[in-house]
Amino acid sequence: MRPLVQILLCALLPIVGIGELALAQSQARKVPTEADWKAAAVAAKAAKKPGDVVIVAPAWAGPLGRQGVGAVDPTLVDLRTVAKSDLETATRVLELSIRGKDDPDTKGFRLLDEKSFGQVKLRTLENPHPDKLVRDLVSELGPSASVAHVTNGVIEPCRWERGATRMPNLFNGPGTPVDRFLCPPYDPGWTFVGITAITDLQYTPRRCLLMHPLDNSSTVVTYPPGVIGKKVVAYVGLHVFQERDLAKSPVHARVMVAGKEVAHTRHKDGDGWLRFEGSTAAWAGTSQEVKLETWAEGSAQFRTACVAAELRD
Amino acid sequence: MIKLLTLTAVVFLGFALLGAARGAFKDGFLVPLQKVGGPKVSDHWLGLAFAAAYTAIVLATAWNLGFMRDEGMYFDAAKSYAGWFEKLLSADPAVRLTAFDKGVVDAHWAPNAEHPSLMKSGFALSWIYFWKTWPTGLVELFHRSKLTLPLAWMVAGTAKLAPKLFTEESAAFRFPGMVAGGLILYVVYLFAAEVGGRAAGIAAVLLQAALPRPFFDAHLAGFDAAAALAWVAVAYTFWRGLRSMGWAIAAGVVWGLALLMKHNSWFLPVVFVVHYAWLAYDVLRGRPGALPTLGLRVRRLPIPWPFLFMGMLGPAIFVYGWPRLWFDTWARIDWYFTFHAHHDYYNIEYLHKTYFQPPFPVTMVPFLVVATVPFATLAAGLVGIGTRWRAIFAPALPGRFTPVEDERRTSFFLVFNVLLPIAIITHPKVPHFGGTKHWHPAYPFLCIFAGMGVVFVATKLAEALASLRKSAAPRAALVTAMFVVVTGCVFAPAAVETKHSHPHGLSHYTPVVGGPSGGADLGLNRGFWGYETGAIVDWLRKHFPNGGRVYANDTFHSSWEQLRLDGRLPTNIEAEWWGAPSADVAVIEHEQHMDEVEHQIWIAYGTVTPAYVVTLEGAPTLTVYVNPKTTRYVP
Repeated sequence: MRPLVQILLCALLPIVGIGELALAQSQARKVPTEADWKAAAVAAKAAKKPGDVVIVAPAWAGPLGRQGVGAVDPTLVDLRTVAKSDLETATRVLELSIRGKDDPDTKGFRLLDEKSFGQVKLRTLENPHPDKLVRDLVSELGPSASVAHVTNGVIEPCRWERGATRMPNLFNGPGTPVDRFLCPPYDPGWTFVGITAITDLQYTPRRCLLMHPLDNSSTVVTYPPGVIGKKVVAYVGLHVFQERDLAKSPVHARVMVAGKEVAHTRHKDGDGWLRFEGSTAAWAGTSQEVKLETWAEGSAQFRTACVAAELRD
Repeated sequence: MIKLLTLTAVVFLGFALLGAARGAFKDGFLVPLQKVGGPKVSDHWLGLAFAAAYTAIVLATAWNLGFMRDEGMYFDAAKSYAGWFEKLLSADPAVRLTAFDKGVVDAHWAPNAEHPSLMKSGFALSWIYFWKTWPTGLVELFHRSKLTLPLAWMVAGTAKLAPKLFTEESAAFRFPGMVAGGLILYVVYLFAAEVGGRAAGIAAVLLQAALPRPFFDAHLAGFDAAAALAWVAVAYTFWRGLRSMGWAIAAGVVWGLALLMKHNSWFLPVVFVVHYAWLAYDVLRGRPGALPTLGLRVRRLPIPWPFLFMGMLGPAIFVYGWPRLWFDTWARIDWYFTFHAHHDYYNIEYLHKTYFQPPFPVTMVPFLVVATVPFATLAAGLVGIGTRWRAIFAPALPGRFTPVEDERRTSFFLVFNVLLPIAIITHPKVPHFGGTKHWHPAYPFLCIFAGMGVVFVATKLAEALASLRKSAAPRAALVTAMFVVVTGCVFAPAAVETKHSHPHGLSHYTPVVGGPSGGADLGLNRGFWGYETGAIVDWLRKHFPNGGRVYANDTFHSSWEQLRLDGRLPTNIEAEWWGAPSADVAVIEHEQHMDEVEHQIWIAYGTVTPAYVVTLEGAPTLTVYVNPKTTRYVP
């Protein structure tokens, strides 16, 4: 072998080492600082208009982004945005992004503006076809609604209460909110109906109403008459620990308007955060009663069905 | 202790240099020592100097490393075993006798019976003699016999230099693991120097020392550094035992000790049997230049004496070295093997999916090797393996293509020791958890190849440069310079990555996958073992000066308690185990399946805004939420 060729071949190993060292240093330099996050948060607060949603991407950077945003204005992010089902009703999204990552829910959005704050980018994204939110049925849950277990037509009402929050810890389901309906058998650990966040099959947080059915019994939330939009978009999911072994009974979730079923899905283990929707155009603009209902096909044990639903135009 | 270890390293290095000055290294740094009669005494001093220096570095960097779940359990077990040792080593003969009563043995040795005794005995003895009673306990112990009287004087003298060995109690528990981590370097140096020369030994030691994950493990009161030491030490003694009866006996003893360290040492005979079969086939087959008859070739076959002594001594040491097995022996051994044969499947995240049960992806282990071992080290290892490929595959190649490497077929032996620990865990049904630690026994052998790869490249570079200058052979100075340059280039990224990774080593990933943030992008396990609460002690002290209650997520209660026993946390900062609502502050240690706990904290506290985030190069490892209802938080 010619000496020069031999030198070049042998130089590959030291070059690999130097290259790795340079790469490590470069990656360390690209780590966003707390100041970067705060500067981006300040700009997001200044740019925010009513209806805009502030998010962080990628999801694993959420704690850092929320810390930065929280230091500027903790109201910019909340459970509703962090544990969202989708971004279809947002007209604009202010995304604090690192490493060139986007929230997958912004796919198809138009990039209006992008500013860099150190290693954090503030991206202003416009939803080209936003839905108009008419009613968020999760947020609406309160004492004016009525909640019951229904067994063969027999109604067992649940009671509205303000109690202590509960944290079930690992592998035990979602946290119990302070404000909730408590249903038979009146165990605040799992028979409540209230606003919580489940961890779905992909470990993504989802803000929803826990509506755990009982054996041979459905859980029904009835909202007093209110304005109806053109469609209902709903989701149902189960807590990851109760879904991931893919061995338990399917659950059903449905939405009824004016006593008629408008959307229904059968969620079987493995479906994750399952979307279902239906048209409510027949009642659009009128005031109607709305019902959410869940039930299990077999045993209802560990069927932590959690439902999010919105009426939209 | 740090100063003592540093001093020890300097003294050992001095001995090595003194030996070198008297000609101990006259064979040079490139000749494999197995060809010149094996390592000299000075080589042992040099290897031990590496070990002492590494142990000093590990001890000096342990103060900010939190405590793993398992460490908490081993602290508890070690304290229980310490009670037995205090009886066994009591000054009162009557008390000593009680240490052999079944009731006493069972009372002390019941905790953590699923792991053997040696390391936890080490933790216990270190705790008793290096922490609780230093130096009077050892002085009194050694004063009991004239034979050990010099040791008593030595301890008393050392105590004048170091009246206190450790600044924290936990360091006493962790010390045996640190020594195990250091001794890996000693064995690696000897093995690599024998196979590839002293230069290869030095390079191999540096690269082993700069592996981020094993560096992390070396800090712990755990078994993983010890398991890697056990594997490489048994392999080394076995390999030497193929030539020497003394080493064959040593192989039996070391294997027995290895069995007392961790159960994966039971796999070692598999390596040796396969290697010996490979070796035997290659020696016995007819090939160009081979002896003409099978009978003559059989005489060339090394007699596998180590098997005899491993069989005789290993199980005996295992049983006699573990007091729990002194009674109901078969039933307890059966329980031990049954426990590990039916080990629970724990969670492990890989590419955004958490696996709780088999089958595990076969790509997981090889991918994690690439993602956690510095790439230049891997590349050097591949060069080392590549330069010996013919020797490795010798029996599978026509005889005329393969030179006879040595009668022990060393390259194949080393490669098989790289591959088997990785292959065992790669099997889809073998439990995958604990990050990469279960195949760390492969890394000393990888680093031996890496050391040889570095030397190969350096010598070839020097030869080529010499050719350019029309010299017949490179001068020693040129070879040395090339060795320093190549070793430096391969070692530097590994050392920098290891430094950056500390004290969050289990979240570390190499630059080729984007570093720790790249690991998060890829959905690789961000951490486990609940140790990151060690990273918030300063934050807690600052923001809860009047005390508070902490929901500590995955931290084991004895691990939390050790933070307080060590004085890292004041005693008025207590753990709240039931949940975040009744705590002043809640933490979440980021590991995918723990995400649900963070979501519960949001509901409990009504906020999604953290107060503090612990990161490793931008990747969150622990997030802190303050209970809005607390009155104790000082912003």
